[in-house]
Amino acid sequence: MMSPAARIVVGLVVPFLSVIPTVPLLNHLSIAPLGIPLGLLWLFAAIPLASLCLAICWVGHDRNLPDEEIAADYDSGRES
Amino acid sequence: MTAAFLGIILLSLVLAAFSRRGHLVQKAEDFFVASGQFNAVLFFFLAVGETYSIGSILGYPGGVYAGGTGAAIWFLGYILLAFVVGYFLNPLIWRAGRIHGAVTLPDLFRRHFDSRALELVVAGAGLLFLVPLGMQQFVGLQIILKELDWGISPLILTFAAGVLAFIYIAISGIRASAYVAILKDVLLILAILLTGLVALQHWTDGASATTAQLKLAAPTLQTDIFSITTIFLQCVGFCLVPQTCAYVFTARSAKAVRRAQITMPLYMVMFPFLTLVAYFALRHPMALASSNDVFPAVAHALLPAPMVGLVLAGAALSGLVVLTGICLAIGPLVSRNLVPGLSNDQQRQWSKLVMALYLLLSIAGAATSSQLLLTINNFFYFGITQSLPGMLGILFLRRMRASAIITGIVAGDVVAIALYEFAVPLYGVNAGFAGLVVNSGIVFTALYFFPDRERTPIAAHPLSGKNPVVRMPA
Repeated sequence: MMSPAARIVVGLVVPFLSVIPTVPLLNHLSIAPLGIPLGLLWLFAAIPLASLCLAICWVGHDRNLPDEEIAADYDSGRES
Repeated sequence: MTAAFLGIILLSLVLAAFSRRGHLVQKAEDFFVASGQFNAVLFFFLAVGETYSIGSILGYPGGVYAGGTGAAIWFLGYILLAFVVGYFLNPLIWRAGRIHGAVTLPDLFRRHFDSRALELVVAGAGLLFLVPLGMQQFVGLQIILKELDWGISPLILTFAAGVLAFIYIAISGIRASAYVAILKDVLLILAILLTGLVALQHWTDGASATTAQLKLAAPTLQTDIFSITTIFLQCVGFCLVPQTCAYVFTARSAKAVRRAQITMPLYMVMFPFLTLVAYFALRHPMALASSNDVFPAVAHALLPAPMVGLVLAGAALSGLVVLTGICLAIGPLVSRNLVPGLSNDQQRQWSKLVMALYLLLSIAGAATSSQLLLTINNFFYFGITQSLPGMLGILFLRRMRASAIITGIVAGDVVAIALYEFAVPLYGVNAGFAGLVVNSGIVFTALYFFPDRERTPIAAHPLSGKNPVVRMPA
């Protein structure tokens, strides 16, 4: 099972680094296929990458946790 | 075109009626948050349905068309990272909602901190910043309905759209919203993929190559700072949007929330195609009343009439679904949080009245304003994100003081709005981000020097005992 620290790195740090500061930096390059800047094209590639990172967290860690089905009392405290 | 458009609208009403099946008598919590019974699939459609409003479909290509890819970077960056942040935060917000029996975000604050004043401030700020969002949907609906060319006054058409949104809500509240969202999402993805692909097919036909070159403003340090601070502000703020919280509360379990969050980024596949649409318009100069007209104008130029009808119906439904979500968030903010002591039935009745008034107010606002849709998006997050320090207090911290959170929210809102309205130079820093820094400074200074009594944060809440039920995996 994935460690909690690895879960944060894979699920949070990697997707964040794929956007900040990578995208603004790439946007300064003058490469632009179809006129679309490289930074934006990279951002499109970061979309499936983010889902992949979250899927790894799910399979490696969160799927194995007990689920929470908590009964709620929506009216408690409303009379006060 | 008209037949295709009206057919889809009729189908949406049938779906809304279908959603009522098995829930003819609804309590307030069922009307607002489906009594927390939605599985991962329904929660997914409801949540992404709210994400991709008419502001995304019209505002995103409009923003790229008017301002180049700077707007695209922060807009896509924040939505993508919002799903990532949501994977970690939303299950905890869901747990907090269940433990405190919350239907709204202010419910959470009131019950966790036992403070009526904090409930009022969070509810008041939510109302204040949700008002322009409804206006944004009606501005977008005006643009879409104008494309139908029915020769009817835009005011009458937007009023009819408002009536339609109210009918969805009146039928079965959040359940109707979720079912219509499924139709809207399927239709919208198809419409955008189709328009984008056809634009690509006609990419070089009659293109003016220099147009694309001219419109591409080079990024500067200031635009980079704006993009980065806006992404940070809005990706977290997204989890604190009143209707996002309400949608999280509809989920059946924490795992249902997580599973839906994994696939949410994939729904962003529409944006490369919307970018193609904006670039197509830049390469093929066309007469536009405003930059927000880019998407319907390109669809009109490239697609046969019945297809245009479907595209316009998808776009119109996206505005209507988001309107129902906003209404269902605003109704209980008034009937549960601002007005105390209403019974379960009275909450539902009062909410319907508030929603009707809100729709009328938004229609009037839209009739007098035509701001760039992405600007409204920025303004919305200035205020909504200011409840972040308080939410961190609910989820992770033990001794946060309600009075400090109130002071922080008010100071953050005032600073953000003042900086924005008076155009104070911030070297690109998002005004809402500056407000959040001031707000956090107040709350965390108070936490350090004047800690309150200890409360168990939600992340450390024992998941056993009389209230919670924890189901072990099979």
